[in-house]
Amino acid sequence: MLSHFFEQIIYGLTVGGVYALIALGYTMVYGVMKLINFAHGELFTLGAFVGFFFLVTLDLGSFWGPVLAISLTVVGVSGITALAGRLLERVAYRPLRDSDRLAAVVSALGASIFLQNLIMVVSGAKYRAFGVDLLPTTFIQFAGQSVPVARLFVFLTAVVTMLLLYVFINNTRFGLAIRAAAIDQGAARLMGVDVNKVIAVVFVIGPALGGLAGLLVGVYYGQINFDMGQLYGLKAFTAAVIGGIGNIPGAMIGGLLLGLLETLGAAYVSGAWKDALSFVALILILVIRPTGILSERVAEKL
Amino acid sequence: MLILSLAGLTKTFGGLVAVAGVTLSIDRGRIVGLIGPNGAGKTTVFNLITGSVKPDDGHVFFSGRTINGLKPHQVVALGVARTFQTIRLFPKLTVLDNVLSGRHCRLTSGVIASFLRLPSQRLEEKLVLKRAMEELEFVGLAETWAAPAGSLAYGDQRRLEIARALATEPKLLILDEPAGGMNEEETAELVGLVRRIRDRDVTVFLIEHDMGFVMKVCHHLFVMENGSLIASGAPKEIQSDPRVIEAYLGQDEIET
Repeated sequence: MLSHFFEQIIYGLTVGGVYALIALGYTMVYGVMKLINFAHGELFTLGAFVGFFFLVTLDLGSFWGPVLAISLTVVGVSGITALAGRLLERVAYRPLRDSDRLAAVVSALGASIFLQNLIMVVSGAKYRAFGVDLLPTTFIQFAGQSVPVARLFVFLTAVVTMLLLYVFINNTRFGLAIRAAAIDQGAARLMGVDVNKVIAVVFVIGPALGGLAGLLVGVYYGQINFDMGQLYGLKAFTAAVIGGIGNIPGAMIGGLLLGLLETLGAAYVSGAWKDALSFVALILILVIRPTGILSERVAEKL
Repeated sequence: MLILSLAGLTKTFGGLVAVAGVTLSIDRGRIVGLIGPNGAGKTTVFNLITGSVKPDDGHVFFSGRTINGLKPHQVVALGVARTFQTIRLFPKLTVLDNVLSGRHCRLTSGVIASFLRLPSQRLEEKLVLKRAMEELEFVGLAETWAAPAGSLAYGDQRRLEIARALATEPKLLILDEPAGGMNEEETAELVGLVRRIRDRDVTVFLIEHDMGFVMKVCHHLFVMENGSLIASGAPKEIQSDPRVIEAYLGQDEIET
């Protein structure tokens, strides 16, 4: 019984780590631009497909061994999704920077549909299977329980990536520029911050993290599909809202919480209600605390 | 030596002519005021200088080069900094982080170096911190460095905006109503602060409605009304200029 519960916790943290990685992309873009990048889920899918291309189509593993192949794939996936994110910003968002908020939302939805169909046209509508187990199938003993190494790998990759991002945002000068631009773009500009550069960097980091999450999901579950980003994107968006959209630690915590809620719900309530539970959580947060669990409530001074 | 000159600067918003062919020059090392009734176009002139608004016509020359058409962060990098009529600090960031944000444009290392924390970057950050604390001491806010900017008293927030602007190492500092919302004591202190800024070889160009302050601190005044310059001269001359008195006293007739 206890071991079943423990297993669910580990599984929840694994799924949650993935949600958190994707949620960071939503929250960073929202923080600086006050825009929900609805095409973010498709960048996640792109990451999975680029990973598939490197690991299965090119079969890098049989040439260079698993460690080098995985490292190269990580670099390739984050590089290509970052490039795609940068392009997306230039084509779909920058021309609309000064127009109505709604125009950018419509453009984001359009970009999402376009990217999803592009991936389908290029790689087909079938499920793609990685075929071989890329992650180790062994278990390690932890606190008297056996933990699958693959899950641990996914969770730790997510956590380490998030910690690096956290340090970058809070302890570097460029991170400070991002935080300043998130509060007041106009004032940041007049203090010498190149806001276009800030936006470009945000649209490089966010998609790279999303693409990395896609790669993790691909190698962990072993199969990918052109519309996988839709549900993951929606869940991660939910996680970002639960944590407080625009808030970086919030996205991390929201992702982990949502992962736990989902797996515990699936295990103890009903597997069929898994998605419903997530979205009920979203609705509850929006009703009870629309600013998310981590947002501080500061009385606005006039 | 001239530091700033505006030549035929014009800006219209829809049908409204906010700034109509303003031409003026400012000598380096002076404290110069821009006064005039509300809606005269003073803040628009400031926005045109800093690049937040693009002129329809005319030129802005700064230190001998044309700067209109440059983006705001490029103008800052050349040495023009400003504060705002309504305070625009980053309220959730600490006092120190606010000042550090002003140092951003003077950093030489890029995004990747800042992430890798290379030794050169560490040294740079140390110097930057020192500079930022010096600016806080200069405006008398060193003790509050760790507090969120939004928690400071109003007058302190105004001084913090000045420290943040000074952190960009400006040659020209533009102050939009620096004494706005300050009490008499704070305004008196501000006179000293503005003079000390000038003593650092920073030229000051300011908008202010508090005439006592303007007369005390400024070497030279420009007067605007309905988008045009109507007078220019030493504070004493301006005070007795009939057109200026007309502009201030006859406001109601002109506006309707």
